[in-house]
Parts: sequence; C-alpha cells; structure tokens
Amino acid sequence: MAVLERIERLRPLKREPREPCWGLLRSQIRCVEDGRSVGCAGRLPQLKILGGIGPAIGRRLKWAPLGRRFGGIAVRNKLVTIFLGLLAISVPVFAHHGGAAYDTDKRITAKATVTEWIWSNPHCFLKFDAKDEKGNVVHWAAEASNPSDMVKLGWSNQTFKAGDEVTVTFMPVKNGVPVGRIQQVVLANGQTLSARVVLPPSQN
Amino acid sequence: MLRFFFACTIALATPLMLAPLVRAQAAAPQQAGAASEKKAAPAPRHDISGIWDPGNGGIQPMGPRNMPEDGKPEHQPPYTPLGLETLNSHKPSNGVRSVLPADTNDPVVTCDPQGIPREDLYELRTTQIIQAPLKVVVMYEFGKVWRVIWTDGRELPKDPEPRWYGYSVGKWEDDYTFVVTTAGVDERTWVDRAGRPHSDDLRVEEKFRRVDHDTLELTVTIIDPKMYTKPWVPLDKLRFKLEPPNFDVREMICSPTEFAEYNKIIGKPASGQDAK
Repeated sequence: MAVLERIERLRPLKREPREPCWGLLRSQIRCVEDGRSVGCAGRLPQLKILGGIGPAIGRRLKWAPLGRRFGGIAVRNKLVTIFLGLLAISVPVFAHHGGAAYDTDKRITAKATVTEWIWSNPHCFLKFDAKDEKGNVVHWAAEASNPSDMVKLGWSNQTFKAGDEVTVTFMPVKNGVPVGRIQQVVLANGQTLSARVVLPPSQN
Repeated sequence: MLRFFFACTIALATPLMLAPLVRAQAAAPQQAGAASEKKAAPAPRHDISGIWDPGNGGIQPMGPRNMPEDGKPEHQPPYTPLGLETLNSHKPSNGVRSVLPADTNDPVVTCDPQGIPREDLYELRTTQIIQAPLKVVVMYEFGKVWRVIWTDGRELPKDPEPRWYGYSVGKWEDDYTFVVTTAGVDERTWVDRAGRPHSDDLRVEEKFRRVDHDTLELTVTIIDPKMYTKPWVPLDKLRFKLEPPNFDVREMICSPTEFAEYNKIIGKPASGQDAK
C-alpha cells in the first residue's frame, strides 16, 4: 500500500507563479508550478454573488500578477467574474446532508484496501485501511449518500468487496478522527466513481 | 491579444463547467425511460395519476426549494414571536442553523414520520399517485409511506385527533389542477428539514397541476396563524416528469438499526462523541 499521497489545503502562495497560468483556481496554480497534476480537478469554490465580488476575490487570491501580465487589474477582475459566472451554471457541492462536522477545505487522497462496504440508509459508507505518513495502518470510515442517490451516480451494493484496492478521495472531519465524506473513488480497473450529488443551483 | 486570451479561457472553461449539468440532465431521461425529446401530449383532464419523478430538485437539503434556510432575509418565513421561539428550539443538521449530527433533535433522525408538508419539502423522491372513485392515494419513496386524500366531498374534521400525516381532502379547481387541503397534523413534525415549526392550527394547501401529459407541478402553501403572520410558499411549481408505468421505485426506509449503525460509525465520532 502506498502512503497517503497528498494532503491539500488552501494556503497563501509563498511566491508568485513563475509563468502565466490560465487564471484557474489557486490550488491549480500551485499544481502547475510544482509539476503535480493529481487532485487539481474538483476544487471548485462555492458560488458567491457575481459582479462586484469578482474583484474582491481576485485581490484575495493575489491574482494581480496575472492582471499585470495580461492587461491590468481590470483584466483580473473580469477573469474572476467570468469564472464565477460560469460556475453559477452547475456546481456539485457538498450540501445534500449536514456538513457541519467536516473540514470542507481539505481533501485527502489515499490508496486503500476496502474492509467493508455498507449499502444502507441514511447513508452508505465505506470502511477501508490506509497507511499514514509514518506507515501505520489507519482504519477509516467514509460516508457517501443514500442508495437512491448512489445508484444514479453508478454505484451499487456490489461496487466493493473486502480486499479491493482502491484510491479514495475524501473530506475528513474537523476533529481528527478517521471519519470522512467520500468525494470520489477510483477502482482497481481504473473506473472513477463520483460520490457528489448534483443539486440545482438554487439548493446549493 | 487580450481578446484572444478571453476567448480561449471561456472556450476551455465552458465545457468543464457545464459537464456536471449535462451529466445530470442526461441521467434523468435514462432513468425515466418514457421521457423523450419530443413534445409531450396534452394533459388529460382530471388526471394526476402516474409515477412522478422530481429529480434531484426534490431533495431540498437546505430547506424547501423556494425558502431555504440560507440566512437570507427574503427566505425567512414571517414568524410570529411564538414561531420564532419554537424555531429556536429545533436543532437541524442542515442549513445555516445546523448543529453537529449527534446534537440534532430532528425527529426524522430517530425515524419519526415526516408528516405533511415535510414529505413534500424534504427528500421528495419518486411519487406514485393513484386515483380511485372516492379518494386519491399518494405513495412516497422516502419512508415508503402513503396517504389518502378524500375526494368524496367531505369536510375536514373540526377538532381531530392529531395524526402524523393529518387529514386531507381534495377537489378539482379546474380540469388540470387538483387542490388538497390538510389539517390535524401532529405538532411533533417539522415543516421542513430546516426545522420550521407548525402548530395544531396548521393548514397545508397543495396544488397539483397537470401541465402536459408528462409533466406535473406541485405548489405548497403554509397557513398557520399561531406560528406565521401570513401564509408563505415553501415550494412553488416543482416539476415532476412522468415515469413509465412499469418503473420500479426504490426503497428509502428509515431503519432504526441502520441509523444506529450509522451513528456508531460516522455520526458520533464525527461529532466528537463516544461511539459506544
């Protein structure tokens, strides 16, 4: 089993990007810098109000270098506003069930061995073992949604069996216990299953 | 040069952003089976029967679709002082007032019935409607529950013994609109997932409108002078698509043993409580 591949958290950039990025998410800019490519997708910010919020977000994300490179701060503001507008169309977010316990800014991606797959209400949940940074085996439990939602996403009660080697991306709880909320699972055959229920924009 | 970068950015980003929406929309017709790209046939008169799928729009996790608990003033019901006091005693596990999973007092998490109108306002899934000579029977996927709406002309009972799903009567407002009035709902139920309250004076009006052969709309109005200063509409024209008559509806049952297992493995640890 491999160690936990990466723990990703939004944090201030230590230095400016070396070369132009395509005005994408902060974490994607970092991934471009460091040559990493795993886990950049799916880090969509929550939708906020359009228009005037664009410049405010652009300033906070320190995208000024992008603006200076491509035509000024006004350009930066336009880029941010355009992206927020596009995101308004459809954003799969974790809003289906209560998320107060979860660290919504954090994602863990781990190679894991399935120990149990529980297909039930209120939520299905996957038990798996993964090694931490020190090589110790940690017994995790991560929930998904209810079977009715999961069937629509291509899951079933037979998706996993004990011993399956998978890659799980999940959101951990804030208090540090090995419990989380599944974002996606990559099966041994390479198939990727998303666990994110897409709600109409009005329900995000 | 600048226009080139703008155009490329939009061209690259648009398919990525629209992909989830396309997948969701593509999934719904595949599950419905009968839903097609063709224009639907006209609505039949006095007929709301069928198996109806509201899609993910019926889930309503943050509270009802038109009045979610998102902290916005325009989405706050017109509470009376008693309504606000009762609201604050409810601890939901969704919305801006949410608490940790183990701290909620939402009756549904202990498998109490949702009742009316909550059955329309939270986890509204595939719904089957059957019309009989004296009644309309509505069967809900969530909780696998059913209710009877009397159409024999009877009045609502004056001082009924409370029921979880109350007492319902219905009549046709016109050839395509079926109006249901419900009273006598047990006060232990919540109006919605966000914990909005109701009293024993609650009256719920549901309007089912057959838009065309394949489409049904539902509008819900809450009338409760003890809790709200005026009627309010938590759900306005939620659309359902007609499924084929042989469509198999899944079970979504609140099993106490399954819920206990979920709390043991997920709910209590996530809330910092001992799982035992």
